[in-house]
Amino acid sequence: MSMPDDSELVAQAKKGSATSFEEIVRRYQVRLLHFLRKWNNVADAEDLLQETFLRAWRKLDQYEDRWAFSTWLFTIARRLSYQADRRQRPEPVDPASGILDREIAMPPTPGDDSLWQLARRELTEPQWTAVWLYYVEDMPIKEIACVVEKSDSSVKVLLFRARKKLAQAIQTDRARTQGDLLQ
Amino acid sequence: MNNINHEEDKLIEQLKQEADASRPGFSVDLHAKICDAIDAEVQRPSLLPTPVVKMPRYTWQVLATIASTVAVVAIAWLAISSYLGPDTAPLPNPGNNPIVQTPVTPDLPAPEPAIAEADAEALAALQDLMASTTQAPGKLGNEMTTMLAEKENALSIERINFSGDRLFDHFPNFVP
Repeated sequence: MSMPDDSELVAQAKKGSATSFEEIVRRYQVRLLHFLRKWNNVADAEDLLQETFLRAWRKLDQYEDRWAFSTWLFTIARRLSYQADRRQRPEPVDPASGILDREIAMPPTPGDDSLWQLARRELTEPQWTAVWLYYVEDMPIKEIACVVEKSDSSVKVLLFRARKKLAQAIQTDRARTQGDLLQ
Repeated sequence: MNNINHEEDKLIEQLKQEADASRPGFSVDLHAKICDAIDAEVQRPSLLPTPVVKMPRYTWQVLATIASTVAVVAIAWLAISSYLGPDTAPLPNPGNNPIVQTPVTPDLPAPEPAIAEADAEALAALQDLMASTTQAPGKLGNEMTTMLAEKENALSIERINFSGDRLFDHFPNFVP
């Protein structure tokens, strides 16, 4: 017996089948938690994961079939994560314009020394999310554009600039490390 | 150029490897917790208020159209009736604008022989009637004014009498 695909499960869940939705939870739990943990501590990430699924369940009738269900879930998760992050610290303000700026790079999570931590330090939130979804989740450009709420071409630009920034940051880090060793 | 691409490829590969290494395992407890939350959501009675039955927008549009049409017609009717209607037209005051009668002077040429003497008498009677008719509203107004004044006087006298009677009735109460 073949497993039902996402669209069938969603159709049953829309009719009120909690069992079908729980199967969706089982499928996407790890992927979403992985994504959320890059932005939050473990406890907060688990709370946000639960809230993501609850919100998806409540708003299931608003889901449009033209997007993959995973895209919709990542969109909800990203928004919730961003809102939680904004509640915890004041919105960065661009001193030149004096307006709120979502494009300023986020501070890294303490205790994470990976390349992803470097990415969080160097990249803006949309750039980081685009890189994660493209290289880790293998999500198509069109679906990423839906999650980060930008056009397809903007996502391509985000990815291009993110790669350049990261490569440059790595080179700078290496040069600094070599300088430290020589001293 | 190839060197840059190679660097980027290495970077991407490193990103993927680090992401795989930090991938969390499936947590049964977390899954159960989420499923419990969803079950609780399913069993929870809806917190949404009962939807208020509203008239459809189409009905409101129809009612608004009818109301505005009625208002426009009423205003137009009032305007026309105030302009043409006899009730609101100013009454002529015959006292201010008396009919000027052309004096008959002996210099006037003799009447046409075609007009008979009886006809001349009838014409004079008609002129008298017209004069009395035009003066009638003035007379009637004077009579009505007189009548109203008399009535008011009578009422005043009645009130004075009534007050006097009451005072007379209560007068013993004030006398020790």
